[in-house]
Amino acid sequence: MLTEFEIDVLKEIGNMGASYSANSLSELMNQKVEIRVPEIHVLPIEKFPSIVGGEEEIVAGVLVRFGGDIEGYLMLFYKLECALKLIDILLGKKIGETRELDEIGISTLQEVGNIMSSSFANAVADFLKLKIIPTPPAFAMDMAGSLLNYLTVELGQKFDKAIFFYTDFIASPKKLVGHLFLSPDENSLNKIFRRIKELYEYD
Amino acid sequence: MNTINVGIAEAKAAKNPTTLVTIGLGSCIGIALYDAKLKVGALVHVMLPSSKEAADSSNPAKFADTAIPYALDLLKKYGTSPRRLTAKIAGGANMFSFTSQNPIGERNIKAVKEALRKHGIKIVGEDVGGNVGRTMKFDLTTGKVIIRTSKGEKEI
Repeated sequence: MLTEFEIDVLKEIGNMGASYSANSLSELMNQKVEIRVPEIHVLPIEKFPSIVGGEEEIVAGVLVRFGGDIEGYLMLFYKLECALKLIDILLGKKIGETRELDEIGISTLQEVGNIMSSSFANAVADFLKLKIIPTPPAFAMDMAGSLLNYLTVELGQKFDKAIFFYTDFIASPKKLVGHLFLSPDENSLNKIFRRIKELYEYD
Repeated sequence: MNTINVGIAEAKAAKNPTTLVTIGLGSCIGIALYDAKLKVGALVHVMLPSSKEAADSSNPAKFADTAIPYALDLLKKYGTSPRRLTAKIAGGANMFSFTSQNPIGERNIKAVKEALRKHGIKIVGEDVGGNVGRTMKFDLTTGKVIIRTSKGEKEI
């Protein structure tokens, strides 16, 4: 379905976007944030939720939809304990102080999602010289499987297969791990490849 | 007791003693069909309302309109008759709030109910809609369906 070259292109673009996201989080947290080597998956859409183990694990997720020249979804999610740690750090509290997700916590996570997805989108848009517009983030806390199930169904309305870019970002001293999923739609992928060819005169 | 896992866009039929499980329903719908006399049942994890809107409709378990006849076919091998079957359904949530207009979860609920009505199968229990994810455990010994959410468990 995708050539090796196309997968490499996607990896590079995703990697670049994710690095900018990680940098923006790093600035917010005032500590180093690393990203894991990203993975690209091309799967029948119904296999998507199985990529993450622990489908019943409760996670806090932020979902952003992209529009403009490139359409798709970006989802960031954290295990609950990591979400609480992140809120503590960003609100200048002691780790462990936030015990449950209240409205301030939720809007903090949404804001983080907003900043990270905008950095991602801006980096990719600058590089490809295309317009990418993220929507305001939506929040949900529930089973990981159900959040991914939602995304699967949204994508499944238009496509039978889906392409996912997946990476983790890690703030090591605080053992904080977040997961990032990105799924552009198929038409957008073709746009990306065309654009790369135009920009770099590759045939 | 056997436990059989039913993934997205899958349908499985079995007989007592077995528990059929489907994990992490979001906008999808789980349909538990039960024949109390034979203690035989099927669990379907439907993803979309209609096979007619899909480019690739080769998997009947994926769509509400084709999933019911498909499950009835699976159940026929165990000797069940559609007249004896009852249904319990769960799922169809809208996990994230920004698709407010006619969300897919709601369309799935409607399509599943319509398909069951069309085949004359009565719905005897349901836990649908809202914004919660659900896991469904269907015990073929009793016909009970346990719904597990992040907030706890209940029986339908």
